[in-house]
Amino acid sequence: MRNLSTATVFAALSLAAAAHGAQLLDFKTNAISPAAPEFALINGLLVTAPGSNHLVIEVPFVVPGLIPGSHITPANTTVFDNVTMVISPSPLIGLAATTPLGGGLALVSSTVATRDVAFYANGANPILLLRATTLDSVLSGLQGFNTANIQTPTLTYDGTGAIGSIIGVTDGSASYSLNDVAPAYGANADHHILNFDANATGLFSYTPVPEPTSMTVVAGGLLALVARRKRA
Amino acid sequence: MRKVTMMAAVAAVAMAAQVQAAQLLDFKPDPITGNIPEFTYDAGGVFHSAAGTDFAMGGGLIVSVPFIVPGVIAGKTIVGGTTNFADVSMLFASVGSLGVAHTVPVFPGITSTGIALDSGSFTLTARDGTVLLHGTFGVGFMGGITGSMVASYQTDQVSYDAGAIKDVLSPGILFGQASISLNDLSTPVSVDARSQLFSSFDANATGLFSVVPEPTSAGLLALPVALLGRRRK
Repeated sequence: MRNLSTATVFAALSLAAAAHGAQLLDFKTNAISPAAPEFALINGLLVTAPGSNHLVIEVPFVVPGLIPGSHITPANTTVFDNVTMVISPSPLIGLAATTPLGGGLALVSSTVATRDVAFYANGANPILLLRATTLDSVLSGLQGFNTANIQTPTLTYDGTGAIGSIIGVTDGSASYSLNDVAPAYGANADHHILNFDANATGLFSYTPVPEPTSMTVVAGGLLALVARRKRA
Repeated sequence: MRKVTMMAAVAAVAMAAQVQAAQLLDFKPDPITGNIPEFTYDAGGVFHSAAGTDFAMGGGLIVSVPFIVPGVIAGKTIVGGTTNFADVSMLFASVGSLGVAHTVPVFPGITSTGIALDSGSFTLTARDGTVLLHGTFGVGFMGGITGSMVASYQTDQVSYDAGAIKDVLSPGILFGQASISLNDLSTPVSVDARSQLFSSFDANATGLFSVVPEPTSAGLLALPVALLGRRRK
């Protein structure tokens, strides 16, 4: 019984660790560029704008290789200070939903058929850092505010690029904050989100694929379970 | 007379641009700290900054503003027209939540859970103790896709009243907005069954603050006002 419990605990702990999301990267502009928005909505199509061509991004591990604009920090993180983020032009789906929240506030949301998002280190020959295909995202904000956000609850990294090859093929999520939304965020009488430009920051997470050590522990636990059952 | 007319024209152009909000600063963790959250929404309904925004607790932020901030300040670097501050601590706290959380259908199969947050205050401090920016914010909104690990916070009622960054723009109070993106929530977005508040969580974050008028206009506005003052003397 004791063996069984130990094996079960090992397996459970390993699986739990594997299932929990972890921060993969965050980004902001470099240099800050009020006049160059990072996102734009043009006639129902969400696109990255010129401000997305000069980002600083950081990942919480060491990315090896000679990549222009990258450096390892004393905290063993890797900073890439000249990065372009590209999101495939993504159409809004259907009409916007407006939900009264009380107090005169109304939440205006629309689903976005987001496709690929990729990060490249800028240089004479841009180097792919990370690429993901995304499922639908939600663009939302309060009617009349100059702020909004884009949330992607599920995306899939394809395991390519200098960062992507380290984490492998795995799932994750993304969250973008938008500010300086101009003109103010909202939907028109026909329930279409109004065109806007916006500055942005954001962060991506991922589900770590169990590392070899964890896999060994899981395998050990399962083997112990099988052995015990055979003996019984 | 010619000078006054020219100054008036510059002032008029600057004031015309005032209604447009513009980016004041953006921030991200420095370094990225996957295991140290930047924000917490606690069981009492208070949304506040956490260790990830505190330099003394192993966190800290890098903050950039789109103009030159003068003076000797620890962690400050100037690149082109941008001033970066490393090792910044941000203390940010709402008073609490307003009412209960609501889950509303947004689209078939997708619901959004959100809650209104009460007013509060924030302070950004350099590692040598220099106050970079202090202000208050009014009612805001925090929401996310139900069941997901992503959320956001927004308020359009920010007042800036002190700090080295604000002092560059204006001696008076300035207004603006704030937008914070949250990811890696420790608890999926949901309504807490007992309290009916947003379920408590820790999260990593990045964000932006904006200001009205936008910084360039504020600079243009300050210039003719200063020149007019000088001429009167």
